[in-house]
Amino acid sequence: MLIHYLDTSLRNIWRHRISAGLSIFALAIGLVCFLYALGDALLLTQSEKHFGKGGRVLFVSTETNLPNSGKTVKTTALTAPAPLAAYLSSKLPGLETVARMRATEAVVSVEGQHVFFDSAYADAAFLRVFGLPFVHGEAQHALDQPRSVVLTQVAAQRLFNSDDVLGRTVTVQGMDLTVRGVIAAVPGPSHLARGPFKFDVLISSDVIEERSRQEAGGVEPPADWITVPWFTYVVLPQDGKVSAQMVDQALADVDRQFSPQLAVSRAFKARRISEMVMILMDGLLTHGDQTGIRNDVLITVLGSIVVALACLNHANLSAAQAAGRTREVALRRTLGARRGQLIVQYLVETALKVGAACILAFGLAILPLPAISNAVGFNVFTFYATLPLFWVVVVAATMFIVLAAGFYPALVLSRILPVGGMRADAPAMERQRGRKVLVVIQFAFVNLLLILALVVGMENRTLERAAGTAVSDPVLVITNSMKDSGVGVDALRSELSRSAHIKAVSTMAGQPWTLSVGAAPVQRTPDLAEKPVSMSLQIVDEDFFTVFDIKLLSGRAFTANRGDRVFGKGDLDSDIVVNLNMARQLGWTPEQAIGKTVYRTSVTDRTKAPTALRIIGVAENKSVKMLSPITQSGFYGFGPFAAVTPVIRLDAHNVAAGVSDVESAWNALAPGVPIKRQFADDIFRTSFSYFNALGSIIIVLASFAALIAVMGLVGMATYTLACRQREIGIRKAIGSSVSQVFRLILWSFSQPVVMASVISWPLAFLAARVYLSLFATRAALTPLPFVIALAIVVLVTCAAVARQAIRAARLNPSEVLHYE
Amino acid sequence: MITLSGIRKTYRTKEMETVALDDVGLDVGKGEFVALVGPSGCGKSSLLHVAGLIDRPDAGQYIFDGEDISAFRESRMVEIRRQHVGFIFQSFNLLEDLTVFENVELPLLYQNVPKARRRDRVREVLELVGLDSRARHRPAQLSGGQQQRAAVARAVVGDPKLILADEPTGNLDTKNGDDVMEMLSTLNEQGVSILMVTHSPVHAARAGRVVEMIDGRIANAVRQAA
Repeated sequence: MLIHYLDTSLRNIWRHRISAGLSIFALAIGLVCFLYALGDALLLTQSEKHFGKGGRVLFVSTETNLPNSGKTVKTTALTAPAPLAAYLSSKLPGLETVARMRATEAVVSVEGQHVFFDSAYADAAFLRVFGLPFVHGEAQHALDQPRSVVLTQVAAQRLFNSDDVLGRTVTVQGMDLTVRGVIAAVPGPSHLARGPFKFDVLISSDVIEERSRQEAGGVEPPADWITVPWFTYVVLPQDGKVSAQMVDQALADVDRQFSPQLAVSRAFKARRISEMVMILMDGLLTHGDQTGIRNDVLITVLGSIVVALACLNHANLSAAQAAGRTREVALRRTLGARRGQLIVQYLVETALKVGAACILAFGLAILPLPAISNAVGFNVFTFYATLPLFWVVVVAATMFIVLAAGFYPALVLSRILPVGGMRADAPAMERQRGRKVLVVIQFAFVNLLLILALVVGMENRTLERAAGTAVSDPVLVITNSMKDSGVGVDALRSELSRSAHIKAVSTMAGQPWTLSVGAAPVQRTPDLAEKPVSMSLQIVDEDFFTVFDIKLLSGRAFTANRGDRVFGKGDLDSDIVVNLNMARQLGWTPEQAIGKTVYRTSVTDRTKAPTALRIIGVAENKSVKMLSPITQSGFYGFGPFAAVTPVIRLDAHNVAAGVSDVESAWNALAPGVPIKRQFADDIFRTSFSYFNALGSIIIVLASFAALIAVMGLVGMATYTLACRQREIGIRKAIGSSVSQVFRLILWSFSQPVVMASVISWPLAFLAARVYLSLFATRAALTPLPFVIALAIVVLVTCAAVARQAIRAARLNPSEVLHYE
Repeated sequence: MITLSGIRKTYRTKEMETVALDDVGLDVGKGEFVALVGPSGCGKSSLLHVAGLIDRPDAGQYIFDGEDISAFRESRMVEIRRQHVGFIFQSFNLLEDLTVFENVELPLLYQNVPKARRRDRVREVLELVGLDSRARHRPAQLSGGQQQRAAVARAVVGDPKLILADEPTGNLDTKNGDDVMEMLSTLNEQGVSILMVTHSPVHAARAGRVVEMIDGRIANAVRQAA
């Protein structure tokens, strides 16, 4: 019987080869999208599988709940306080290993040569957590001795022109360190091969501890349980005597023991190391904790939507074909075929098409893999080919697709009664309704993706405009650590003030346009019972507003010589500049806000009286931040000590001379340290590229989805119009003109598409609002993207069916009514 | 073989009701050849569909080979149809994609007959209808008469007790029509019950009994000499 099913299916596919080809191509496109989405999600969740202990390694994250109008806003850091590792080791002695790593940038000096490297401080045990690819040295013990350093081959070659450098000395922050290991590049897709974790120089953690002692005047500094700078890794024992739950239990009362005064609630959580990359990506893409959206889920859902559209497309085309197969199926039933047999026969036919689509999809998906492997630095093909989970999901998804694409038409076909072959009017009407529903669902998805693509595009243009109009002159940002470089901000400012090519100099905490998010809880009265509201916070020095050309709507900017009080200095009151949104949120006009006082709640001690913040100025709503998922209201604090990133506004007429002056000033102040500088525009472009890529992905998915839906529509139009020939013939015979028939046909196809658009609008509105709420500068959510998306789908629909509609409208009635 | 009594069948649309069969009673005995005649739209085909279990009556009793099957479920009806009933249509209703051999083989496939037995049986009936040399041809490559012979082969391949023929000669010329009628007579002589709808008085005359229908009712029945 199976051979009969296969044989019949192949013949049917061949008979309807054009529509089958469209279906197969659409399914292949959907599958390619799904494969890439799945691949991306698995890359995130399986990123550490190549480390031998990957399954037993946990890391400790810190979840902080910031107060916001009586509710809380959760933020997740992948790091933990410095003393936590020692605490866990003593609390759970059965743990195999506990180790810390802290990312930094370091200038490494060898015989007068100074080179910047991405670096990290690491405990000796760090090397026993991850089996790093050692080329020289003891793989597990290279950091056991104090003042040790491990270099990557790239760093060793750069510094010594050789890999074999064991025992050689490098100088970091004035300390001589001995090279005790050389490693090859950490293989992807591990978290250690990307972003903040990537290092070329691994320095033993005693170096930073010794430095802290020196800064504390030679004594051991108090344990800092407040700040969370260390990635803390835990390896569970092989014997299973300590579980992840036990680690979580041990972490549960850490704050109660060591920071009882903390005003915000924090939770330390042990998570699987496989979640590390995923959380990192969530933070970048969706600021996951605010939106509750997970990156892997989002991408998989988007990919799945496209494959679902392909399934709907197949179901729709096949159901349309069913009308032409009524006689065949009725006859089969007359000859004794059961409904189940017909369903199986049709599912076999669908499975053959899905199989062909799979082959085509894999062929298409594999094509760009060499380029992707080159870009990401590891063999992507091998990664997936050897990942059982990938194949399990692919096989399961394929089976699901067969059912999703084939079951509805199978059901339609099997419901044809033996006698229905002769009397098909009623079931045909029912099938028509079913097909309309499928078209509506298909185009609702297309419309949703189109609206999202338009909103992402609009937001990207808004961000570009915000960056482009932020300041009319180029702004240079010095990204060296001022502290490590030994350069004083005032000295640099004084040096730069001599240049005629520099318009203004200031400093800020962090860098402009990065993806970091800063916020502080603020309330209107000093009453501890009042519920604070989280406001976006930017610490800046004087002249910041001049550098970034931010206009003050009332009051004045910070001026050191007027005695403006510094923000965040102990419990002292301070002066702030608020943005227009914050002034309005507090119920004041820019003029009314001046001289008013608001209060900042302490996040480290809930019993502390809030500190007063006096408003000295109100600035326009212009931001040099990329993200602001909590609020668009914010304020600037005056912080000459905390704001240590120099930002220099150059004269647009002679940028080269300005840059040269900045470099000369830096070299005069820090002769041994190469300057690291970037234009603010470049930092913007780096951060922006992420959202640009997201926009491109959604546009590609929307285009594929639209392509699939249109192919389905063309196929359906072909069949439907073939079935409606007699009706059209009668209409024309009784006097309908070509244009009337043409309009009637176009409207009959546009109707479900318009309906689909309207149905998709609420969901698209919600999704767009969530997306826009991530950004500091937000595009206005107007009806425009909704209307444009509707216009696009209606135009595409009309273009897709126009040819068949014209042909049908020109039909000669005598030809189709001849047999009556 | 079959006894239908009090059979009613109404076709309904939103606007109107059409009574196709109105209290119809009909017996077809074992080995009997009955011709059903009457004007177009009198309910002949509807009665044939009910008798062939491809349509259900709204009311009435149906006894098939001594068993009351009026209340049988669809799956049981399919079983009876598959095992005991063969159909011949005016427009042949051969599947265009299948060869003559495959068309004839189809009922046996649905009966799950083993492959070797299936092949032997199909060859046997094709030889019987004189189409063994056309086994690999598609229906479109055959003449009308040959197509109807293939349809007859498909109807008899499962050794049915009852053959229902809906104007089997309606699309054939006289020569081919006579050939088909000859085949039906031969089958009847072998003990197969036949209920045939026809407009042709000549072909109706070859039946043992002629039943005339008018407006969904049996008008009269005439038993003829063998």
